[in-house]
Amino acid sequence: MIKNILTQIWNQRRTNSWLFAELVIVFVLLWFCVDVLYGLVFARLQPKGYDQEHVYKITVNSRKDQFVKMQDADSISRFWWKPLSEVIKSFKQYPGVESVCTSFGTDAYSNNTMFQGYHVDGDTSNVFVSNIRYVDPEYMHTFRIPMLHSIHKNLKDEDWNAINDVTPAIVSAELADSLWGTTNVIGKRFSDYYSPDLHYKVIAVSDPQKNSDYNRYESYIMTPYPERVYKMQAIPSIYIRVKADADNNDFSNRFIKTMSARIHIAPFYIFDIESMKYYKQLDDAQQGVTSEVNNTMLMMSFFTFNVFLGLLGTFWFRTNSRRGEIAIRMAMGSSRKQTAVHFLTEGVLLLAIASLPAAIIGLNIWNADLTVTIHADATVLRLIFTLIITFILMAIITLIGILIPSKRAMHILPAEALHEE
Amino acid sequence: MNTIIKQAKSHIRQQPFFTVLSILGTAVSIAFAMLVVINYDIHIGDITPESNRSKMVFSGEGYSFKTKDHSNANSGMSYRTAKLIFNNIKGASIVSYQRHGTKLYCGTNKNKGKSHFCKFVDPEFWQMYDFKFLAGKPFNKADFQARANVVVINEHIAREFYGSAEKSIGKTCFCDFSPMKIIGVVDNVSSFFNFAYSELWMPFDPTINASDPLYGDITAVALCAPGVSTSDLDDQLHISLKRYNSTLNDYSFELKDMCPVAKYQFFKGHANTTAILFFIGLMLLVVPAINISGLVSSQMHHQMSEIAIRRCYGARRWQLIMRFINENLILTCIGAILGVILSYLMLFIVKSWLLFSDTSLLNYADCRISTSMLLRPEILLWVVGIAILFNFISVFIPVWTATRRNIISTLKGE
Repeated sequence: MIKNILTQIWNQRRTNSWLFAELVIVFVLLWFCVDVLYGLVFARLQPKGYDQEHVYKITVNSRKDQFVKMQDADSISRFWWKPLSEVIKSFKQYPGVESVCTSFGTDAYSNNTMFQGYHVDGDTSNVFVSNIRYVDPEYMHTFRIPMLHSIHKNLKDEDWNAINDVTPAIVSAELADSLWGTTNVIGKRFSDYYSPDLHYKVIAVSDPQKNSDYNRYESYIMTPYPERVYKMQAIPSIYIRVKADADNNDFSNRFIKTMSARIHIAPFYIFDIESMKYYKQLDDAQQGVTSEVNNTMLMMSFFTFNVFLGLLGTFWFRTNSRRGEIAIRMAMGSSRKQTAVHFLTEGVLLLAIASLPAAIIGLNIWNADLTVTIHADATVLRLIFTLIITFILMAIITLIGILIPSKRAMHILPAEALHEE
Repeated sequence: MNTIIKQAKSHIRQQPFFTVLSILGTAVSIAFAMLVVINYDIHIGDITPESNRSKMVFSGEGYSFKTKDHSNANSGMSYRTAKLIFNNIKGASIVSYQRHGTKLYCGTNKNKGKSHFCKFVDPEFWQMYDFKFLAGKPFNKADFQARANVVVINEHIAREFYGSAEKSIGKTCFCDFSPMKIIGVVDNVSSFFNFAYSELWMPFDPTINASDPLYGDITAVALCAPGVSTSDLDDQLHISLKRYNSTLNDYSFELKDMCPVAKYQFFKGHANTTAILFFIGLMLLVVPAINISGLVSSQMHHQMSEIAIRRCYGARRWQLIMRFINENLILTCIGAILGVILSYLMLFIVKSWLLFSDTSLLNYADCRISTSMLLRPEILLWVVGIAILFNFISVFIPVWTATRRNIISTLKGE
């Protein structure tokens, strides 16, 4: 049957040529779109190295009318950090709050980043740049950061103390790999490139970290707050983890209302509380991922609609002009179902033939590095996978497009059709 | 003309399926092409209040670092740095500086406030953009230099605070717990205008110290002087940036994203937007054109003998081609009108989805699309152009091949 259909496709090459050209072009365009989405989905499915479910970020600001600029470290500690820590402490008392943490430096889901260069002791020629995040010990619990290796299964607060001027540090797998070529590096030492007397000792290695869902993995170092932070009138990022059963849509509203009424610690006030989910959306929007997805989907729907229309039209006219042939088939004992299958097979075969040159074009585009590789590498597996997905997608549209005309063909009465001329 | 309409009518009656398919195909592709054009236009067109976009060059974010070892890297630009680079540029008629917009606690008294979007701008801001003042006036140079506590608010805030635009003038509102005098109320600005958009606008602190760092949160926009093109101005600014860098001893300062606004709006000027959009536009036309061509050529089978007979009686080839193109033009016109309606329908359904920007997520974002943003003569002109081009591509080729066939063999039915 397939040989028979192939002969028919060849004989009708004149009318098939338009459809063929369209199938090839749309296959390539659709493949490109699928490839873009593949990159995004691939990056999205990678574990982020932390869990931001039920985590909220609280923005605490200082009131302009109560703000006093201070120079002296002692008064900053007394009139800035002490009241601020009281504010932060009070968050923990709110019902449903599991843990509270603060951080400085590279923020999750934000373009607020801080970088430093690091090297293994004694080797200043190989400097690796890494995101730096100053955190308190609670940070690991709040964000539930999984560790590959760690001196204790659960890090304790006293692990966070510097010993003999050596600061404890948690490095991400990426940074450990850049510095030592392996991730099992507990107890190893390294130093800051720009401030040579800053030394670190690895107390844990975390899973690979990324700043947002669609980014690639980056190097991270998490270490305690340096002394200089306490000499500034700064406000860290504050996060709370809410118990799953206490978390609901109204949580942030109730929290800000209750806490604003309760807390009057000059010069601070609670400005805002938003879930990490919101910051993720905001970050996606700022990075342009949301519009990238939207535009790609829109393009895809346009192309698929056109292929659908093209197939529908071509096969509609085909069943019309081939009424005689269909009638003869039926007269020779072909069932109605077989007639429909015949047309569907013809469509899929045509698509299969068209997908060969399309795949070759795709291969060349891939080879010339013209695919979007911001979010994931262009691997051979990716090429094959996206080509298969595109074929399946096209096959589905082909079948839907031909189904209506072939249904019509099914209902041709052989006697009438053969009688026509 | 009459015969063409008559023929088209009977044609439609005889071939309802072909007609529906052809019109539907045209309408959908015109609608999509329109969406692309509108999307492009909304971002780069000279639309009030950003009515000078085609003459603006934007600084982008700055980036500074120690030249020796790339340490002390910071993003952003300070007011001092911006002034040293952007002041005294020959090709610029106005330069406006603004600080990053931010959410502030604002309200009519200290205890009753809400988060609102505020922008810190200079007096030139009001010349750069075309705001419609409903009451009051913008702040001037004297207010700016005196660091006056004045604020311009939008109509929405005015209504929320004091009931109406007129009633708000001269009243006090609190921004970040400090009292500000409302001196002007402007019409609401859609958040699609990322340069002009805000809810409250107030002057920033213009103090400059020699000890100011290179980094800060200032961006600058320069407007072309008459007769100067944006690329000329862009070149002048890059020269000025180079000159500024030569005055720095240990540091380097970069403005990687500095480019004309029309370029900046897509990919921050780092991709050839025109080429990409041209390619997308081409694909949006070529794919449906092939579709319609395929339909026309299947259709042509039935009209082969008609063509042959007409040619027998002396019709010239181009006459026949024009005949088919004209006939199809009617279908294209119906399709184009439907397409325009469809595109506006789609735009209103998916607007926040299609024209998504980071400001649309802010809970107070105003994603209004006014009719003046859409019903622009340029856009309609585009559609007419697209429709004619579309019709031409999709009909010309199949008809051309059909009329090329041998008359005798066609009439013989070979």
